[in-house]
Amino acid sequence: MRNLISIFVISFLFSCETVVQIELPDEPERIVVNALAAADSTWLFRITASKGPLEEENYLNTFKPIKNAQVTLKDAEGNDHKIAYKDATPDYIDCEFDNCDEFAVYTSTSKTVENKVYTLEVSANGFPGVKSRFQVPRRVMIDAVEFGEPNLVSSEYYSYSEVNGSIFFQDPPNEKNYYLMEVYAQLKQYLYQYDESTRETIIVDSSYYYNAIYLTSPDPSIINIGVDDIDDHLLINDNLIDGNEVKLNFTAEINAGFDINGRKIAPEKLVVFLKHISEDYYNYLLTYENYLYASGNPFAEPVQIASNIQNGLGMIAAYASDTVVYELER
Amino acid sequence: MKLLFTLVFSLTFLVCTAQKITISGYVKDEVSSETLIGAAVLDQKSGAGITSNAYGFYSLTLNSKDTVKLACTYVGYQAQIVQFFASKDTTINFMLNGEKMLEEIEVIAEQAERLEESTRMSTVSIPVKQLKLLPAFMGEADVLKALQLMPGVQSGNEGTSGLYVRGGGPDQNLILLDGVPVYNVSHLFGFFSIFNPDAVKRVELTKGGFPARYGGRLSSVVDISLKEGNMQEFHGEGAVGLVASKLTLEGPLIKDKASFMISGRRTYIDLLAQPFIARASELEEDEDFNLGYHFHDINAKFNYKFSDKDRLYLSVYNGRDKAYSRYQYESDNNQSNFYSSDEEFGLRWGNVISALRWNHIFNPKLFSNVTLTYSNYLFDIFTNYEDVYRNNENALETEIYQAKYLSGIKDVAGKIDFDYYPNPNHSIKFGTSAIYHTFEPGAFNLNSNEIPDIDITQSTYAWEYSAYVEDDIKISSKLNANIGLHASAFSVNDELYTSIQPRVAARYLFDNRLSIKASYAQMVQFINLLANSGIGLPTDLWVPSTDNVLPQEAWQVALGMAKSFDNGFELSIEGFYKDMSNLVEYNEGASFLEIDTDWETQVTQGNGESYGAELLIQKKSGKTTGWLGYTLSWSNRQFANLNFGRKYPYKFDRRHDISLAIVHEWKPKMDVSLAWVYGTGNAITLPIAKHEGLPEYNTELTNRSRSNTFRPSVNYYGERNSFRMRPYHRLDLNFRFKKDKKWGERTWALGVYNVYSRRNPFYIDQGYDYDTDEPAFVQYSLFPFIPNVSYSFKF
Repeated sequence: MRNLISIFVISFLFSCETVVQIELPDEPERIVVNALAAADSTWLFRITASKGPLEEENYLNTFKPIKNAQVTLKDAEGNDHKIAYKDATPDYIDCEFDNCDEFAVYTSTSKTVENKVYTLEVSANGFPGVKSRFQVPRRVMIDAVEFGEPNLVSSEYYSYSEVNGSIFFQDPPNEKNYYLMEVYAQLKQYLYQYDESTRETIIVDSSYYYNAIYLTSPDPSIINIGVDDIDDHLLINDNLIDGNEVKLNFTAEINAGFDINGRKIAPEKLVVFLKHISEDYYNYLLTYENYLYASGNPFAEPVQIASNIQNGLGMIAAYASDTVVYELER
Repeated sequence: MKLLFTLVFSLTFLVCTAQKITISGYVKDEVSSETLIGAAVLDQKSGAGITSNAYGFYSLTLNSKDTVKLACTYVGYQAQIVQFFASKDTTINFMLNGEKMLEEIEVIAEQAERLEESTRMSTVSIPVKQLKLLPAFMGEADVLKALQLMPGVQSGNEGTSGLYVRGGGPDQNLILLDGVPVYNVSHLFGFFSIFNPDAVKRVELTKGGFPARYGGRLSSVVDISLKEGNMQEFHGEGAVGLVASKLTLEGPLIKDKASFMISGRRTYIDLLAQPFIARASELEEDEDFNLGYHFHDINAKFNYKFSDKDRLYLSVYNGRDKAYSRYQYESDNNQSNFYSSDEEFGLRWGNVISALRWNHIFNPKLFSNVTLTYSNYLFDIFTNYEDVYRNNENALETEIYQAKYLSGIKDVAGKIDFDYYPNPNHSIKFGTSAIYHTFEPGAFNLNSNEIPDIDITQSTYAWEYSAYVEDDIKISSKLNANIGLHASAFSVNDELYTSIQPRVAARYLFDNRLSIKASYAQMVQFINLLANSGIGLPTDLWVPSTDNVLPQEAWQVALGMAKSFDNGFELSIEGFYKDMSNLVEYNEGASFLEIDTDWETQVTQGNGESYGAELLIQKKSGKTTGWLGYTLSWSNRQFANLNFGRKYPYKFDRRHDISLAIVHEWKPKMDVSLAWVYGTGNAITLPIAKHEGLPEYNTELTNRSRSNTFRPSVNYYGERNSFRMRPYHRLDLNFRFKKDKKWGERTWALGVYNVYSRRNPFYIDQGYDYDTDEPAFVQYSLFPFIPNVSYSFKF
């Protein structure tokens, strides 16, 4: 609804389009550093170059990875975590037909440690050097997760189960804390094969996949956000719950999967993540969501996405997560 | 000795007091008995003079009994001179004739108060007669669009009626309709204002040097007075145009005692477009689709003269806009899979404004006005749908969903104002007012038989009080000053804000009809407009200052010169500097539709400054009238939470702004008018780079390598408003052909908006150049060459 007014007005108004030449400032290419730095996981940085706003972009021409950067990652004790370039292209990818730039990363054998401060420096020929200082938050444990009875909501066009839930945890006192809550449904998928002898399609293997679940909550501590059109996160700040034993209520929409015959397959489990995220990551998520809403709207002021890379672009999104797997009744 | 001195002094004082006489009365139009505001009354013998107040009343105290030669003048009217021996306080009402014009030179020679003589500066007025002759968008003459042609006033986006005065925002204008503040002045998303020129008597814009009687807004006062109605005869006028038609009727209820004026206007875009929409929608037989927009407005005023000392006025305004779409479908009722759908979506907004005023003359030196007012602005976005279908049991089932988002502001107010003229050297105004505000920045109702009902309301109540005193002082024959004080208080929740705002203006008159003027004014604004867009959408929300959101403040200095010439031209040059603090803006990406989020958490406050110079050459009477205006200005903003805390140009920072408006009586029955405008392009924010973003889904759950997840491409914008759109310029022309008829007069008007079809920029976005096959910036324009025709009549 929020963009309907703009669409309503635009559809009545716009009459002419003209290509215009705008003199853009001579903005040099910058180093872009992105990483999802989860506690107790190996370091994985994407280091790419920025582009001009009008440069061509397609599947085969994405952002150029910087493969010869000097990357130094040190913790507060001065230990160097020896980050090095790695081509992580899977064996099944043929770089002649696929864009293997997607797999260029910088990694190390060491892992992130929660509640630790790190500094990162990246330099590369032809680029101004960048720095970042960030802290991996402490893990906040989920005390409990509860789900109520599902209500089936259906019409001619859709059906899903609506479930009310609650998550319980202890917020650390006297400090600013930010959380990202996600819930995924674990669904089974089957690998089918046609049997010539029986002339039937048979199941030869199965595996699990995960669907993000739509979440919503009226709790004032929660800012409902989502990425693209999926509201699959709850973003939480502790302004109202600082130091408390927290119970946050939410509602989840659980969609079924479908088998090869179109029959619904109900989820077996729900995987609940409570991510204790850094303030930088929180600002990134807020501004990114606002950026998406403002994009393409001629009446909205463009939104600058938050960055914690000094003299560069990108985000090192540090967090520590706790997970609870909730078995659903068949 | 002491006793002798005291006696002599007392006698002298008594003699002096006894010799003062006061001449007072009203200045009116001879034909209609409409009061004339700002008419000049001058005693040509003593040189003492005054102007009529907002109700047409004047009072002139002279120092001695003597022959008096009073000249009363008003722009566009024949001067009237009365000579008599004044031995006591006398009431003289002037009835000026606007039908028979003297030659230009004669009129000017009689002009009592010229531009350079007035203490007031930064004030412009456009005669309504002239305003209605200017070329108009779609043929609809518009009060605010005409003001946009004045120096110091920016128009915002193309076609819209928002006023950006000396770097201020559209919420910083106190727009008064017969003394009542109006909160949303836009029809058709800002393309027309709500003010019907046929109902308007006078328009005055004050950009700086604000007299103490005005308060509550930072940047301007637009004072619009409605006609009162002809006390002598019944008259009417109307017009039929491409967009709307209007009709105004006025006349006596009791001759010379009571009169009325009623004026209405309505569009018919929706009716005209309906057949085309139906055809373009390619509807099936069982489908129906309506898409449309319409507005209407009605002004009505009644006035009753109880006696020579008492007069009562009632003015009422009601206007409404509605934009909607409705789709209906119904399948064969006999079918087992019967299905029907009725979906409606729309926006509605409108104002109800009323004022009840009582004028009372206590004595020739003391005039009062008591006013009770009511103002209610409300808008809502609604969506309704109703689906009926057969369920598995073959029974008819209905799904209903009705959602409505409402927002508005309501005021109930009372005020009392006094005009006191103790002697020729002082003209004192003082008064007080109280306003009770009800703010509803967002209320949401949902009724459905499928999901639980929702009712969310955010209402805030506030009291706003003010008191003022100002004195227009004649210090010497060359030096005048207007000194005043405006005090205000705002009580909301448990917070009380108070403010004392000094106002000073002075004028020094040289011998060659040249004066220099200076002014200083402090202003405070307790209510704020949250505008989520650059155009005057009805979704803009009025919210109060609270304990978290401080009142906006400003101070402004101006220095200028003014001169009038014998040939009717007036010249004024002014420089100004304005400093603003606690300005309110949405945080980046925040939206008015975050109904479950307190609006206070979505805004941020910061500062602004603007400065520049304005030139105006104007001619208000004669066969050729018009003006040339030029503004050179800078306007910046600085917010801690926007643009990394760095100063940035205001969106409507327009370095150069030129406007030329000319109305010429080519032949006795034919007028031609033109308007040409030029402005530096608006400031905009464009991306200067793009880069890879973080992956968009949980990499911990994927079975593939964590490195090859989808990563978005995001823009990097750099400094806010660091680019400029192309300059804006446009020429409009209008021709009017009048003819006398037995019943009155008819006029055909032919006009063109944007004569040379300049593609003026409205918005720039990233797009594609299909000629070169490359990404490019694309400019969107709104209005090309648009002709218009209208038929108007008077009787």
